[in-house]
Amino acid sequence: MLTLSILRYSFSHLWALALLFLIWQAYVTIQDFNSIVLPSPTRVFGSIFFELDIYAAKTWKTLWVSILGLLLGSFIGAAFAILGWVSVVASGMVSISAIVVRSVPIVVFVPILAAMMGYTTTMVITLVALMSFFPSFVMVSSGLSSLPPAAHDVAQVYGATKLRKLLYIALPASLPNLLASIRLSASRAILATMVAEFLTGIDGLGTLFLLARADLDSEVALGAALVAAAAALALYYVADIIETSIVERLS
Amino acid sequence: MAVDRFSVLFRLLGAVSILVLWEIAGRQGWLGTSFPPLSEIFGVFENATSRRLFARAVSATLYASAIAFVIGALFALVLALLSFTQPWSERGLDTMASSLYAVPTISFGPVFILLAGPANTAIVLGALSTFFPIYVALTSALRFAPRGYDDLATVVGASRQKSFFLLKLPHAVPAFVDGLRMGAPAAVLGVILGEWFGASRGLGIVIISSLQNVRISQLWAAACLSIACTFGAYVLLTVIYRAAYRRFAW
Repeated sequence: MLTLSILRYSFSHLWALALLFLIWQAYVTIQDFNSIVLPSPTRVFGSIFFELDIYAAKTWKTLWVSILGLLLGSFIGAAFAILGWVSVVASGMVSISAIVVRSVPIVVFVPILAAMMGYTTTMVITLVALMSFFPSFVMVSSGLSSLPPAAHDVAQVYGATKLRKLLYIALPASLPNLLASIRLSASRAILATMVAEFLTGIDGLGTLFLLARADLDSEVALGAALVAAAAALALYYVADIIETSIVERLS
Repeated sequence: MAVDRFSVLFRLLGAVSILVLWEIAGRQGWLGTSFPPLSEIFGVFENATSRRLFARAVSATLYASAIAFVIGALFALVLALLSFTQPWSERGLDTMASSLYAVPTISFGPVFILLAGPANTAIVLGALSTFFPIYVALTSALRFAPRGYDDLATVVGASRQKSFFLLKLPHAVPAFVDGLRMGAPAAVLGVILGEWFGASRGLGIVIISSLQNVRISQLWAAACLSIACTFGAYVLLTVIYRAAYRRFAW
């Protein structure tokens, strides 16, 4: 009974994804491609399975760089938003940043950052931080600006100092939005790291992909792509779980 | 009104001071030789040869982006309608959409070079990037039609089709256009990333070759133009979004 419901659950969630893999497998089989041209999904999974240690090392590198940049950018963004809430001067930046979030592709800056900072891991972390900064700044600012007026009144009545207002009102109020922005930037962070590694050859999944492509090792190239996708999804879901549990505890 | 004017003035002042600071930082070399002053970046456009180069690149990128945008939007529309009208497909399509979104766009590159050829890879990547925001916006708008109107439709005995075409679909229009608005810059970015995989022309190519040949001000100029393209797409769709909102929102 339990296995049946698990089966039904996974079918209803995964049928379209499974269909994509089936089409891929069928296409390769029918066209009878050489695996240099396009390997079948089974061969790609095989390559991941048999060279798990290499994949794990590269994934770990890409992951920690992404996570570090993600947290750094999001926290700095939240700090700026709180600064804007306290001083009101910086709040004019919010609407500009909101447009930046939606219309400026930060990934285009990879070559520029690489030229400025060199082909280093610091450059990749800076890139991811830059990308996570704007969503966090915008979301935390909007969270703070939608605080109930009563919160201000209570603080006023009790004669709370700015610092206390910050500690007891602003920080707790900005936490849910900060967590949401981390979740939203999570899979983009992996993308940015991957692109940076791919363009500069800094160690990580992007470079594994780059080198495998150069060696015509399509199985590893696609393997790296699949692992990166899985890492991006995993990071998203981890952020989601953390967000849900913390927000539940707060409310 | 006076307050509005004041804040606009404030913002203008802020923007101008950033530009001035940029110019000074570039001239003094505060951030190294790879950070040129603004005047040098715009100086690139004074040269007739580079102007022609950029004009060709921008038109190629915008053309590919437009095609990618239309394809991505159509796919999103069809799949969102499928997911809404056929409830069995809903969760599977959602998982597929978010998985596709999570896959770093560049890792699709080699697959599509093979399937679509280097020239079309940029278009496919653009279409893939534009698909997700539109799909999400549309499905959520369709699912969350205002409750009161939905009940009203049931009470007056509207058929499923009627309530779909007269209520749910028009209600979803602003959200759909909002999705388009987020999808448009994504299409341009996807195309630029796709061009890194050996398209024959486009802004992506200019960016990569400028980096490889250490043409710093040309690199900055190409990046600025890329941003101008994504921003232009966003502004254009924002105008359309406002019109759609005025007409359809309730």
